[in-house]
Amino acid sequence: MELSDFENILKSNQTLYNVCDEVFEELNMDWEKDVHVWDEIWFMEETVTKDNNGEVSTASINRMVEVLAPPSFSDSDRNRRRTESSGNSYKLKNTSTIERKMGINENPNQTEEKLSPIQKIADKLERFKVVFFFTYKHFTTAEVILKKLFQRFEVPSFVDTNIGFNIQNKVVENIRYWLHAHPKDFTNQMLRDLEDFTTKNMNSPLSSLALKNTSAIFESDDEEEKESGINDNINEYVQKMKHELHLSPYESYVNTYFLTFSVPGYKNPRKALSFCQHLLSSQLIAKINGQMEFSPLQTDIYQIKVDEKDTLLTLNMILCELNIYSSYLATVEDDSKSPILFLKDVHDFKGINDVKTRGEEANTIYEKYLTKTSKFKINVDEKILKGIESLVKQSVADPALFDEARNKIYYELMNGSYAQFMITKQFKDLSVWYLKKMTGYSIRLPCSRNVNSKNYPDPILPKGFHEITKLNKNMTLKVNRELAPGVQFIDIDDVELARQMAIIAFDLFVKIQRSELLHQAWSKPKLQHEAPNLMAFINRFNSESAFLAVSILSNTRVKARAKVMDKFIRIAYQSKVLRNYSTAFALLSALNSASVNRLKHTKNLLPKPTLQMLNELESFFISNNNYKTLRDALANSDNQPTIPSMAIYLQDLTFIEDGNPSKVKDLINFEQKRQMANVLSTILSFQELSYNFIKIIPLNNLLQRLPVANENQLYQMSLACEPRGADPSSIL
Amino acid sequence: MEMISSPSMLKPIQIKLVLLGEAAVGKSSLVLRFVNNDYQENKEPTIGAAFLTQKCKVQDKIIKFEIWDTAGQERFHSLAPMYYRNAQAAIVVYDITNSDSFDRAKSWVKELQRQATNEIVVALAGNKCDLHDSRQVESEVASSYSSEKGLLFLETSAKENENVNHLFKEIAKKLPLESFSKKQVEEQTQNSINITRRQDSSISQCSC
Repeated sequence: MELSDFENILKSNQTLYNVCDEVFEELNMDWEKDVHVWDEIWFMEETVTKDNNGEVSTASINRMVEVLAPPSFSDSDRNRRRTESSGNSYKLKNTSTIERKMGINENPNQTEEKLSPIQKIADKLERFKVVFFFTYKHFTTAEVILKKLFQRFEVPSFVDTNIGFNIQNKVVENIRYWLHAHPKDFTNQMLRDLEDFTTKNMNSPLSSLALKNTSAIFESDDEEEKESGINDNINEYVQKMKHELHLSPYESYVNTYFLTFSVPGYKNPRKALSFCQHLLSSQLIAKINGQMEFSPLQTDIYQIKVDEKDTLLTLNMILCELNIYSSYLATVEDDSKSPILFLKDVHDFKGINDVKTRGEEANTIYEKYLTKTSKFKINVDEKILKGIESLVKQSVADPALFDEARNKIYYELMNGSYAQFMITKQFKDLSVWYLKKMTGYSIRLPCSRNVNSKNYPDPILPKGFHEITKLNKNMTLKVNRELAPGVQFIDIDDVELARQMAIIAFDLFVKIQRSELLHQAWSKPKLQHEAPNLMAFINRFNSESAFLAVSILSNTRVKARAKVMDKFIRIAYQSKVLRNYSTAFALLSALNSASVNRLKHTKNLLPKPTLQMLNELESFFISNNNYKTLRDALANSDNQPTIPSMAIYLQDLTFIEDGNPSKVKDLINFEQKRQMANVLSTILSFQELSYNFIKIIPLNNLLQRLPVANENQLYQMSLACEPRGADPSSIL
Repeated sequence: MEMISSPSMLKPIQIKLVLLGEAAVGKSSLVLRFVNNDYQENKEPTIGAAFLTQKCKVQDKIIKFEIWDTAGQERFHSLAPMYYRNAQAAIVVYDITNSDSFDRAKSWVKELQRQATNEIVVALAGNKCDLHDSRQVESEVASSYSSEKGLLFLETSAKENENVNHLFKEIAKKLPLESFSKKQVEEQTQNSINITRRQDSSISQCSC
C-alpha cells in the first residue's frame, strides 16, 4: 500500500484526521533544526556516571563515542553536525551539587512532594546542564570550550537566519549559565575574551542583554534574593503564557523555565516548544530505528515529571502512534478498535476541566466500554472494573478515574496486535510520513528495502526452477520443491548465487549494533557475549571461506575441482560487483589458504576469463597502502547497497583504541574518541540501504547452512587431492 | 644511533612483515614499541590505522619494514592468508602467561610453513616476559619447539622494551636481502599512503 492510501484513509475518517491535524499543527511551529546541542545535553544527562573516584566512567565514555556518531538524519544534516559539533565545558568545583541532584533522582518519592511541578522541571533541567558541563570538562579545558562556543556563535551565512539565531541564543544561554553558576572557571583572560565577544556581537540584542543580566546576577551576593526573584518571574510568565498565548499549563511551565534562563522581556516563548518538538521527534526517530523501546505511559525517557494531566507531550506521542495504528486497522478490517477508542476517550476525558461535564463523560465512558452489554467492551479485570464502577456510581469523577484501566489496555496493546504492528514496514513508512509532516525532516530508514523502488530484479533461475509460485509479501520466492532433481549448485547462475549470498550476509550485517563495536568485545572471549550479532557476522565470513574450500576439495577429480573453483571465482567476482565486499573477500581469502592455494593442477585448468576475474579480485583486495583500493571503493558508495569488509574496520578500531593513550594530561583523549566515532558511523551508514533482491527459498536454505571444516581437515583433503610432488599425469 | 644522510643510501628494501597471534597477546604493543619508541604525549596523540613502517639499517642496507598488524581481526580465521602471502617475514606472538595462546601460535606456525612457496622468515615471540610470576609457558619448551621448526625465538616485553628491537634486528639478519634488493629495484615506484601520519618514523630510532 502506498502512503497516499494511508493518508486517504485518514482523511475519510474525519475524527481521526482532526485529531491528527491538531497534533501536527501544534508540532509544526518553528521547528528548530539545531538539535545537536540538545542531543548532547540529553545524552550527558542520561548516561554520565562516575566511578568511586569521581571520574567519568568507561561506560559513559563509550556512550560518548556512540553519541559522537549521531543517528542519521539527512546526510547534509549529519555533515553539518560533524563540522559544527559544539563543545561546552564546565569545571565543577562543588561536586556535592551533582551528588545532591543525583540524589533527587534516586529518591523521587521523598523529594518530589515538596516541589512544585515547575520546580521539578527546573531541577531536572538544571541537573542536566550541570552534568553536561561536568562531563565536558573531562574532555577539554575551559578555554577551549569557550573558544568553541564563540566559534559556534559565528553561524555560517548559508544557515537559515532563524536557525542561526537559535544557535546563537543557545550559545549565549550556555555561557550565561556557566558564568552564573560557576564563575571560578573564568580566568581574567577568559572574562576579557567574553567581554570582547559580547561587545563584538552587540548587534544581537539577546546576547548583550543576556550577558548584562548575567553579570548583574553574578555581582549580587544575596542568594535568597536571587531565588525569590526568579520565582516571581516564573509565576508571572506562567500566567502570561496561559492567558495571553493560550498555552497549556505544561507548555507554560516549560516555556517559563527556559525564560528564567534568558532575559526578562524575552519575546519568543515559542522557543521552549521547539524543545518539546525535538523531544517528541527524537523519540519517534529512535523508535522507528528500533534503537529504543519505551512505553509512553510511563514517564518518558527524559523523565520530565509533571502532573499527569499535563503530560501533553507523552499523550501526543501515543496519539500519533495510535492514529497510525487505527488507520492501519481500518485497512485490515479488524474489529478490535475498542481499546484505541477507549484510550482516546480517556484522553479527552482527562482534559475536561469542568467537574460536572467530567462526571457526565465518566458515565458515558463507563457505559460505552465497561459494562457487560457495552458496544465496545474492553477487557479489564474484575477488580479494576469494580473500582471504577463504585466511583462512577458515587459520581466521583477524578481525572485519574480510568488511569488504571487505561494503562492495562495500553500494555495489552503493546504486547499484542499493536506491538506486532509496530514492527511492520507500514508502521515505519507511515511514521516517516508523520515525522516529515511534524518536523520537516526527511529521514532515511535503516535497512528498508528501497520503498519507492518496485524494480526487484527478476531472479535468474535454471530450468529445474520453472514451477514458480507467486511472490509472497516478504519478497521471497517459494519454489514448489527443494532444489529440483538434476539441478546442481553449479548450474545456478553466478549472479543469482551472489545475490542470495548478499541477502544472507546483509541480514546479518544489518543486525550489528553500535555498542558491539566498542572496546574490542569481538576479540575478547570474555566479552564476546556483548557482540552477538557481530560474532554471527564474523562467523558467516569464516563459513563462507570454508564453504569454498570444502566444495572444491571434496571433488576427487581434478576437472570437477576446477569447475567448482571456477564457479566460486565467478561468485566472488559477482559479489564484488554487487558490492558485497565481505563475501568476495572471504572467498578470495579461502582461495589463498594453504589447502586451496597449493592445488596447482586444478588452477591450471581454469579458463582465461576466470583467471582475469581472479586477477581483478586480487588487485582489488590487495593490502597495499592499507587496502587503499578497497577503501576507495567503500567511500564511493554512490547510494548502492554495500556490505563492507568488517575486518579492516575492526582493525582500525583496535588500533585507534590500543595505539593511543586514552587520556592526555588527565583529559580524555577526545581525538581518539572522535576517530572511533567516525569509524562507527562509517560502518553503520552501510546498514541504511539494503539489497532489493528476491529471496529464493530453496537456494537460500542451501546457502544458509554451509559446511564446516577445520584447517587441518582441509589440508588433509588437499593432500589427498594433489599429493606433494605428484606426477601431473597421475592427477585425475 | 645512526643517521642516514647520504641520498644514495636512501633506497630501502621493502620487507612485508606480518604479525599473527591470538587476541590480546600484545601484537600491537610490540609494533608500537618498535615503531614509536620515541612516543611522546601531546604530539599528534592519535594514530588511525594498523599499517606502520619502520626503517632499519642492516649490513649497509636500509630495510623498510612494512608491518601488518592483524590485531582486531583474530576472529576472521580465514583471512590470515591475505596477510601472510607475499610476506617476507612473520612474527607469531603468544603470551607467556597464557598457554592457549601458545597452542594457537603453534597452529599459526604450522599454517605458515604449509605455504612452502614462500621463503618466509618466521619468528616466535613470547611476549609479556615481564610477568614471570604468572608464567604458563616455559621458555625451554618454546625454545626447543622453535629450533625443531627452524624459527627464530625470543621472549619479549613490549612494556619493558625488552628484546623488541633485538627481535626485528634478528629477523632482518636472517632475510635473504640480496635477492630482495634486486627484485625491488623495478618496484620502487610504489608510494605508500600516509594514513598513520607518523608512518615514516625516524630511522635513528632503530638501533639495529
